[in-house]
Amino acid sequence: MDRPDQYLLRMEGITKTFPGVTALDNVTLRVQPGTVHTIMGENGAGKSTLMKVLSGSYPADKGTVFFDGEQVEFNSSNDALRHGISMIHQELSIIPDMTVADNIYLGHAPSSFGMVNDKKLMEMTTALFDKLGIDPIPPKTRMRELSIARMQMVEIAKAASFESKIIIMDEPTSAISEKEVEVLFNIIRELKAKGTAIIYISHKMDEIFQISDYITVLRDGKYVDTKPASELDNDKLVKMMVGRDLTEMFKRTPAPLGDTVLEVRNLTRFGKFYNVNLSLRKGEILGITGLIGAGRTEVAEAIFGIWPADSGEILVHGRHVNVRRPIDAINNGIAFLTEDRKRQGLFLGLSVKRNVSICKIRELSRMNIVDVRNERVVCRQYVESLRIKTPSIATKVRSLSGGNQQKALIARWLLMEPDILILDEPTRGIDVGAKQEIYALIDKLTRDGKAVILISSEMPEVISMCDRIIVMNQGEAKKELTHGFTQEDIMHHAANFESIRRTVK
Amino acid sequence: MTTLGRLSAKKGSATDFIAKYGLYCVFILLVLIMTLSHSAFLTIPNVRNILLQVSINGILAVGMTMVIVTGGIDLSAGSMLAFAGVVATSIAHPGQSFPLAIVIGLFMGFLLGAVNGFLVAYGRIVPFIVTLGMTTIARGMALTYANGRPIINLMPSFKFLGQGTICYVPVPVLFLFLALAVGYVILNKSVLGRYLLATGGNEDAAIASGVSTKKVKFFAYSFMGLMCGLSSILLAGRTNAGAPNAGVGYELDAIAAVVVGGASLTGGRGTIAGTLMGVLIIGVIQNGLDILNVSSYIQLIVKGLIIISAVWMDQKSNK
Amino acid sequence: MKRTSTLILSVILGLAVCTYAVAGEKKIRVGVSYYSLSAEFLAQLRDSMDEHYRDQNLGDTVELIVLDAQGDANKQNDQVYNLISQGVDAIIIDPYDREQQVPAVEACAEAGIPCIEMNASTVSPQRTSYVGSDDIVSGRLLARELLRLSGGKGNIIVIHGVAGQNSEVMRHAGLEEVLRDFPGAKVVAEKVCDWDRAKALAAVENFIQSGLEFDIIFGENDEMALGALVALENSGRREGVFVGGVDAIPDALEAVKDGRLDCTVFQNSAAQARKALDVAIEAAQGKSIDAVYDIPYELVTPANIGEYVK
Repeated sequence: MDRPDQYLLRMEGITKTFPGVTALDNVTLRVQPGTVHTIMGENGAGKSTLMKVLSGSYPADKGTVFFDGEQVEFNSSNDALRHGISMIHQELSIIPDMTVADNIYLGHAPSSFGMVNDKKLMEMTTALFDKLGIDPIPPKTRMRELSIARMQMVEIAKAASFESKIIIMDEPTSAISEKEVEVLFNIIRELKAKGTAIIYISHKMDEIFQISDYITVLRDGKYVDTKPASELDNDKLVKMMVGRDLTEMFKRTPAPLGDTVLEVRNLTRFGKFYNVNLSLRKGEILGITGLIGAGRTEVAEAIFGIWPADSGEILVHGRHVNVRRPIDAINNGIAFLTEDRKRQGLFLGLSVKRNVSICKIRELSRMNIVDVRNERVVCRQYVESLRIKTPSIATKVRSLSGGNQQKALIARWLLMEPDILILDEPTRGIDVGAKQEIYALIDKLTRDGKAVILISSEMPEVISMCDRIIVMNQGEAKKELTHGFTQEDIMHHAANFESIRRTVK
Repeated sequence: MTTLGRLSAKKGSATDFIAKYGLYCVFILLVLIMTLSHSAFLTIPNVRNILLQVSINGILAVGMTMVIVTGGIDLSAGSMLAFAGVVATSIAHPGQSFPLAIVIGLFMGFLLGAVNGFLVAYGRIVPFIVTLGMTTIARGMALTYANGRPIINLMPSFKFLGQGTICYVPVPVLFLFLALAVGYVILNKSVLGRYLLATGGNEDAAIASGVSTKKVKFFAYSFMGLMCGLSSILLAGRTNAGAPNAGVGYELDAIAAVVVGGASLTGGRGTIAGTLMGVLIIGVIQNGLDILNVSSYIQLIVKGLIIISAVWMDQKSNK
Repeated sequence: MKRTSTLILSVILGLAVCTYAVAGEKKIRVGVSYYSLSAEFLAQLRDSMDEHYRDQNLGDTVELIVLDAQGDANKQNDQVYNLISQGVDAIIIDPYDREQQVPAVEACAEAGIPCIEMNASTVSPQRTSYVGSDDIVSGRLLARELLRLSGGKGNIIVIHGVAGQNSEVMRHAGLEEVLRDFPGAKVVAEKVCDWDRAKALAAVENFIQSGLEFDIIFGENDEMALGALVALENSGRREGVFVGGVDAIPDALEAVKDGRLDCTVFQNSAAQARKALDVAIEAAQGKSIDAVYDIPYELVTPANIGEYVK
């Protein structure tokens, strides 16, 4: 059934080794024009390496790439770009102080004699937004003034502006809300209709089934299979990815509830959230969800003292506490796992040990001299109990997988023996197997008597793990749901109908 | 989303104004204070003096803007200036070729700048280190070449470049305007300008967009070197000599001007108009305090405070 | 943006026209331009002038405007231009460089403002007067005394000030002139130490380390001579080496008194400053003045140290 010329891209027998690791082992990828081709696999399965080989960042050790009927070998991402392969990176690669138009047409702006034709540039930008069906953003707006989601839209527009034959999208929805995912999917359908092929990388199952035509699964650097999306379902796909059945992704054994450990009354930070009330009991998991920008993280930051609230009360174990700085919160037994682990959490260049012990280092020292042996013993203990996969505790945290980095951060906080853990998107960007372990860990923590606030935008996670859910909407705690909540309930309260109506208009 | 965008724009109109025009306000305020403090400040000869006095720092600051928007820095400007100056003046005695001396002076500056650029862009060495090294190398080369003594006895046309006037406007000021105009066109109008800003704003993104950031950086440092060459000729013309110890600390004044002008030392942000404001603010402070007979020790403190507070205000208004 | 710049420009021009040609005041205004004020000798010069200004009760009739070019030739010219545009009645300049300050001196002449060079001179014939000492004399005095001590022969180390500066060039010229009369003496090492004590200390340490044989250290100023002295003392090489400097700063006088330093040369800065101010005022009043007022250098040795230190 395979005719070579039906494929826009064929990568055959791709092998790539790094010192000590075989990242890709005889991998095949065949992409037809006008299709969305998803690549699935746990972290470390080789997805990004494969994409880096395709986009010219790495040379392959073995294997051939046929693109548009010709054998090709790209030397750099420029080279790939010129041939018609563009990529939207997982980390936003925007230039904050340049305008929207400059960002989109950087590298191929309309010009004559080295001078940019600004008028034409603006017209082209507006036309591009129009063509893609994106809400027009004034082309002269500076990127830094946009929300993350809008920046992501600009990134997508930029990739489309090259009129590439293949657009690689690496986790394009990690920073945008459900509503904007719809806009993105519309753009993808537009591009598809014009014959553009999309290579889509994501961890979000529901999205994948919504948009994909074909799915290729990689596991441990090896090619597993390629199947039409219509022949797969959630379970089959997970099985292909992990190589075994995952009967129970989420594990929640309700713990006996104890006293109220945290109470927040009328917490307000102007411009971010207003009159938020919540309470949390020992052994409980309280979910906070909502769209991006609803104020979820900001509430957590206020409770933890990163950005103190302007007014309102925080009570820990029934006592008023004044939280002005994180240290105040830590002293009251509150721990906060931040959303962006690379920026706000990890010291990437330091060892696992140093990352874990940093908050506790005073207690691990005598007369300000660190008791290295004690530090090692304590860290080993947590590395084992959390099952952090690392060659040794002296390994640099940078070289760990996302899931294990996250666990190292959790270990750091557990070392503080907190009563209350606030987890902000704890499973973002980590693979299925690691997710499952994190869920099990959270579950265990509540049984050990900790109270957990779980901030997340992944609906299945919130629904399966939480005992209660607070839905935030435009800075307000819109609704508290206690029993039998469904995705529809949550979306109903989370969606901002006002703004949707305005935008549509 | 669009409504949100509009809302925030409306709400912040006062702060927006300060963010956009704060620098101009500071400048006008300074001029007002100086004018009220001393009658000799705002006179035509003194305004001419100020422009003349900022011309060299202004030209260097234009070059420095290019380097700083790419996220780099050039600490060697003063030394490169000294070297270009002694080489140019050594062939600018009466009877020698005027155009050749000029071209050689410009070229020497360009050459040293290009070495910086090459090491930063292709050698991937941190700009701070490269240009720190060049600071002593170029100074040593200048002292060696000139044998430690100023090179004197320059041809009259050379002096004209530093001391002459055309329609009452001093020649160095005309060159300042020229440098500003060239800098403005490059940074605001040309494709290269976008690449400079993109390289400093997010180098990875620039590379991913097909920008050769190496060439861009190479250009920035070479251009800085060229500006040093130009300044060296004007400075030699102004002081009748090519001094191997000229220009000590000039790079710091240039960096200060660029930063006061709103550029970010991490790159990606900076304008020629802002730099001009920075140059003028520093020039007015210097001239004004001299006229007010403020002790030079105090002047150093005032200058430092103004640099810090200008950047601080800028950061506040950008939040 | 365009509008703002236009606004600024018109405000400036408006104010400029308003304030242009405001008449001067009745006091005689004297501008003083120092090439630097961050060295002890120069600060002394300034203090002496201030003292003279107070002692003579000049406050009612004379206004002093003091500027510091912070060791930058171009800046000093700029500051002189500033003084000219303020319309001062006389300018005293302590020039950074004999060549590079010529445009400033000529600008004064062009503006018809008397220009008194103090402490050091430029090569410009257009100056009104020079009040100071002849730097070459200090070099001569120091060289002769050191060679007298060593018996007219020996190996000499020369510690230079900032290369190319007037006093550095002239003091060195004095030494070379004297050396012509002493065929038994020769310069075996030279080092530029920028008038800096610590740099001279390190330089002499290195010379000692290298095993260099020397009998005389010629310091172009006292700071460097004292640095050399410390290096010698620390390594136990003080015996048999003769060290001297120029300027007679308090530290050096103390060292001569204690018999550590062999000699220094006193430049009478107080007399220079007093005379320069007097001459400037006279010039401003239109009185006729001489082209040169020489304030002689004086050699300071343990024999006559009592005249300089109480």
